[in-house]
Amino acid sequence: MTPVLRVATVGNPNVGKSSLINAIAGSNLSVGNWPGTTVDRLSISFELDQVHVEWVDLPGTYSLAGATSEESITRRELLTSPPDVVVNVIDAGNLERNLGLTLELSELGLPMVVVLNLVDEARAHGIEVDASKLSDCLGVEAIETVASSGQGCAEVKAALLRASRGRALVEYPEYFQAAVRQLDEPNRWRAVTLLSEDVPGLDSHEQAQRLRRQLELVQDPFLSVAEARLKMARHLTCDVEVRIDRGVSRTEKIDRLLLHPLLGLPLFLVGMLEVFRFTYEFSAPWIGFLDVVKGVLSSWVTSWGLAPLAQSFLISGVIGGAGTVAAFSPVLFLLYLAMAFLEASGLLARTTFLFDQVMKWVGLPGRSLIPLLLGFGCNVPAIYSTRILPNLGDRLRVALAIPFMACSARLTVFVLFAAIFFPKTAPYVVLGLYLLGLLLGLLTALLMRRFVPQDSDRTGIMEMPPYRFPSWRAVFRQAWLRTYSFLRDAAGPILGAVLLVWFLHQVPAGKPENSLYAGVSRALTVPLAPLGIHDWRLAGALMPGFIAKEVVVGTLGVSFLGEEPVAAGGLGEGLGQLATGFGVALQETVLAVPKLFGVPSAELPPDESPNGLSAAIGRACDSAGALAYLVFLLLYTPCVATVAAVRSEFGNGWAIFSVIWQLSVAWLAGWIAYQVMA
Amino acid sequence: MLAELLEALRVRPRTRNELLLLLQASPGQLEAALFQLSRGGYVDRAIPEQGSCHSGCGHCSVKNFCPGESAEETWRLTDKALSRVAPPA
Repeated sequence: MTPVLRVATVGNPNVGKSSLINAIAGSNLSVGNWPGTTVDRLSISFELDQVHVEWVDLPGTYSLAGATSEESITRRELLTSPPDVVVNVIDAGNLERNLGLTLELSELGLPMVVVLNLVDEARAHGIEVDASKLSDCLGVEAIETVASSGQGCAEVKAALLRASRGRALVEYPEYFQAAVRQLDEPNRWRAVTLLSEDVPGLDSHEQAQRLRRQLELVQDPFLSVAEARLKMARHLTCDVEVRIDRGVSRTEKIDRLLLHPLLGLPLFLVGMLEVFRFTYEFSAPWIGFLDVVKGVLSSWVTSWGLAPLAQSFLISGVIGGAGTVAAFSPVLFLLYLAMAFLEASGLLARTTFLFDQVMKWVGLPGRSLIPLLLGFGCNVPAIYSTRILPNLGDRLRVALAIPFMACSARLTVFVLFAAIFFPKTAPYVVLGLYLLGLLLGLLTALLMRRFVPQDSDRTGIMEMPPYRFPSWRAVFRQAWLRTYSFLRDAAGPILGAVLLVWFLHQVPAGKPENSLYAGVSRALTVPLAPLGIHDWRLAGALMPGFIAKEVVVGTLGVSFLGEEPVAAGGLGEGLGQLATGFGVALQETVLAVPKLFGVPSAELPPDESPNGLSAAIGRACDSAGALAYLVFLLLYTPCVATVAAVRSEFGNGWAIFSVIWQLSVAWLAGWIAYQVMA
Repeated sequence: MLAELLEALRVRPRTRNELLLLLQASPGQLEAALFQLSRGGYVDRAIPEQGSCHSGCGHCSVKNFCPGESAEETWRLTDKALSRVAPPA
């Protein structure tokens, strides 16, 4: 039987724990240049010298006694299922702060390997750490690495099999040491913690409580322990670290501009606009090309001369559904590409600093912006990432705000409608919707402050990661993995929903406008009429949109194009159209590059005949109704998965409340948008 | 270090830069000490109230939105610390 080695990575947030595992095991754990990338216990396994290694990636923590849910996960794993080896990842450029956790781990008494990561950045800042001296002091192997490039990872892998227990170096005051000796607790870290503080999940017992009361008569044991650990961390740092003054660092120079009191916010808004222009300008040609593909496939199906119902099933159901799934890929890939670049470069983390005051205005810490920004990708993981906030009240308020963040699934509808109704100002309309969602999310958080119970305010330290130019390979890989994961999970439901909508259109047999689907959709136009939405096909698409926004465009396709006749086409003619369409998409992509760097053109767009769906939607309502529709779509319940996430984190009551709140806000904001535009 | 830091904050809330100068500490040292005290509930970030700001913004209506304010990271003792840290005799 193959022996098993259980390994756990432990370290401060944003020191490269997940990057290290990815480099060693070739895995694809999510990495980002901001604290809190890993919020849950993740594990991977691989073979090493005939040993089966099970490696657990634990959320970052500054202390084993921390109070946040991520810190609890790390503590619980180490105490209840102690690994065979702890890999303590340290940022070599922040040695003194990182050593606090290392000293606690040494007291825990588990075999350990210390990884001095990011040594390249430390050297760039004039910081040199003597790894062998640190190794001698701690009594465990210390290895220098640059996880992002794989440097030193082979050495870490080899060290796993010969890991040793570290020395408990911290010398506590004698009054405290005596109590530790008296306490009937063999594990030193447990003993020290029980005698100095209350830690959730660490059960105290009568003897510990009695000893602690006695200690408190002498001095505050928490302060004694903290002081002793800080002193030892300082002592070790002085011993093993050499600093050379290299003047103002690159990160400081860039921060002076990007975090400037006056220039910071405008630069952020310009950056956000560029992200949307990048996504819109580069995806539009390829969405157009996919429409050409759908048209060609439909014309080939028509040429087969099938029975009308079979032909409708293939064109509106199968090709329409698959086309909807495919149309997501360019938009999502480009948005994820931009997000991956922002995350890995350290720019995303700056937004938390920039918005610290704004977040304080709504009574939230600056780091709560990170879950909100993640919501622009997908609301579901964003709600789970609220675990990075220590205060339960803050977590709930951020979770109630997240559904207003326009996730990438909503972007496809925005892009479609903006191109139809606002062709000259499409990127601005899309940006405006994103900002409206952010604003209403923040207002929700502010309003909920009155109703959500608040814990005592425990403000933490905001960490600014250094700027790193990300490797293009890593950025593309991250974008591809996220796009693939989204499509893999969403393709089935989208196709299923599109086929279901097609089926409901056919029951009872006859014209689609007399179908069951049309009947329910017409009933829905009554509450939506004040928003300028009178067309049953637009109103109907909001129903499957409640299940997932991914299916809205597909449903619109079935509802509108079911009535559009498709001309038959030959094989050669179709291939010719595909080649021409591909060439046009390629040409438009190249032409989109200068558009990114110039002022948006105010000229009228070239006279293009819109495709079938765009033309049909364009006739279904006016621009005021379209804007109201977009606002409603932005703000009403994003998907059932988001409701399930809120329910799992905060319970049934808050999940039901969030749905009612979102529907109310969406209707009201849509009505205002319609009144203003009309 | 912690005792000096608590004593410095007992007198009045102080900015990070003030604390660095006062304690003659490195940024890493101060950060580690503030983290420990913040974790124990002894210190927290002080948010300047309208009209009492030292940075010269005065009664500016958008002062609370200004990111320049957050550069002046100010720390203060909590009620818990005030009840435990005795003033010098």
